Order: sequence, then C-alpha cells, then structure tokens
Amino acid sequence: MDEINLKNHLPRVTAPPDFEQRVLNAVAAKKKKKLQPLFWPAKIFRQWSFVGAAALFVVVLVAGLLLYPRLTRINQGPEGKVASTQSPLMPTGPSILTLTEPVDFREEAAGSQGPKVIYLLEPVNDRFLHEVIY
Amino acid sequence: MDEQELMERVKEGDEVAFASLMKIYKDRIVNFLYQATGDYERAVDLAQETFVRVYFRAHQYRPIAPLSSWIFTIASNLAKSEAKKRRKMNVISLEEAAPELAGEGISYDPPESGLSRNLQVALAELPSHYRLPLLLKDIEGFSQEEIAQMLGRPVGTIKARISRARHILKRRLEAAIGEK
Repeated sequence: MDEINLKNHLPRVTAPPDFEQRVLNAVAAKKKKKLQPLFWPAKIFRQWSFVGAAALFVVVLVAGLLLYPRLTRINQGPEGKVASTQSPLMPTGPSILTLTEPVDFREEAAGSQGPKVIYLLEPVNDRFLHEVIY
Repeated sequence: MDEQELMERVKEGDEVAFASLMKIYKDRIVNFLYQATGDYERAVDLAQETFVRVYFRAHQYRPIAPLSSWIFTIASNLAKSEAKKRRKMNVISLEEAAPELAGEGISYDPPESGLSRNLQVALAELPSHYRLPLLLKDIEGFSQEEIAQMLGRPVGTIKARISRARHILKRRLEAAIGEK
C-alpha cells in the first residue's frame, strides 16, 4: 500500500458559525470571575459568620452548663436553713454580704409631703433564699 | 494587519483584534482537535478553551516562534489532557459514535468514503502520543522541529513516533481492506 496522504483522505470539519461569539462570551465570563476574588473575603465572611455565631453560641452554652452547678452550690447554714448562695468567685467567709447604700434616704425623703416610708427594692434570686439584714 | 500586530493588540485586550485572530485559526484548530478526539462537540469545546487561553495568556507569547505553533501548542496540550481523561473513562469507538457525528454544524470535505472511514477509525485507535505528532505533521504541515518544541519532546522522538504512527495506520488499513 502506498503512503497514505491523510490530508486528502481525512474529512475536514469547520468551526460552527457562532464560534467567535461563544469564545468572546467565555472570555467575558472569565473576566467577571477574575474580579470576584476582590470581594470574596466579604462573601466568605457572610457565609461563615453564621457558622461562627452558631459555634460561639454552642461554646457559651456548653461553658454555661459546665460552670452553672459550681456557680449555684448551696451551703446549708447551722439552723438547716439556706443561708446564702456561695459562688466560687466570691470570697469565702461569712455568708452575710455587707452593702453600702450611697444614697442618704433622709435627704431623699425630706421633701416628701406624705408619710415618710421608704421601700428598698433588692434584687432577689427566686431560686435561692437570701437573708437581707438592714 | 498581520498576525504579530494582531497579537500585540490582543495583549492590550483588543477584542476586535482577537476576533480577527480567531477567524484565521478557528477552522484549523477545530479540525485538528476533531481529528485528535474523534468527537466534534468536544473538539469545539476544546477549541473554545484554546482561544480563551490564547486571550488570557497573550502576554506570554514571544514572537520567536510563529504564532500558529504557539496556538497549536495550547491546543495539543488540551488534546493530551482530553486523551488522558478518556483513558480513565469508557471510550466510545468512532463507529459507535458515528451516528451522532452527523449532527448540526458538521460538514465533511471531502465527503466520507470507505477509506476515510477506515482511516478515521484507525486514527482514533492510535495512542495520543502517536496521533498528535502525526496530525501536526501530515494535516497541519508543521516541521518535526516545530512539533518537538510544541510537544516538549526531542526531535528524534518525534521522528520515531511519526514513523511508527504511519506504520501502524498502514497495517490497520491493510487489515481492514483485507477483511473486506
């Protein structure tokens, strides 16, 4: 068999009519994609901020659950009553906490026309009993 | 405007110059990739990718070698990657795919004959490291030195591969004719 002339015997195909437009569209799309990295930190931030917030919530929840029993340890007083709550953060010692009220109520009530009755509203923990001594 | 001037304009992002360049090379590139892959649609996709790379890598082109060899280098690399991908997948033979080839946009010149059919089948069965140098030499008319540079192989290797490819094609065509 003689040498085969591929060029003469192989069919030749041509590009489709819209080939140039397809390429130019692909170039435009790629140019647009190349610009996106300028904004991707913000994009990643948006996507991952929710994940980060959820993770932070879980961490706080777990920490709270682990620390909470220690924070709410109850000491039984000598009379069997609940004396106070004791936090590991508070200094040990007497269960009575001395508070100093900076307001002079005599002056506050001086201008009062009616009976001079002062109501002291103290924050009360409704889970444990507090003894308040004035 | 000659090709080098067009290329200088493409480097500056001139899409009109780029479209002119495509007009010159699109048919050759599509045909080369069609002979390399045996699949017209895939050849058009790869040709599209070739020109996209030409556009974005225009700054890498140095007028030391002809522009055609630079563009065909990109096309050859894509053809090689495609062949590697196909080796991992099931490859449909040209005969099985033939009905799909006669789709829109394909016109064969010259019209298909028995010999050309057998030649296409034999070419498709050639390993890509034989097929590509053969196509670049016998279809596109590049010299062996140019092909060696394009494919990144020594000239001696390219000569041997082209010779071997022709020998295999001849043997397979003789076998095909002998069967009939």
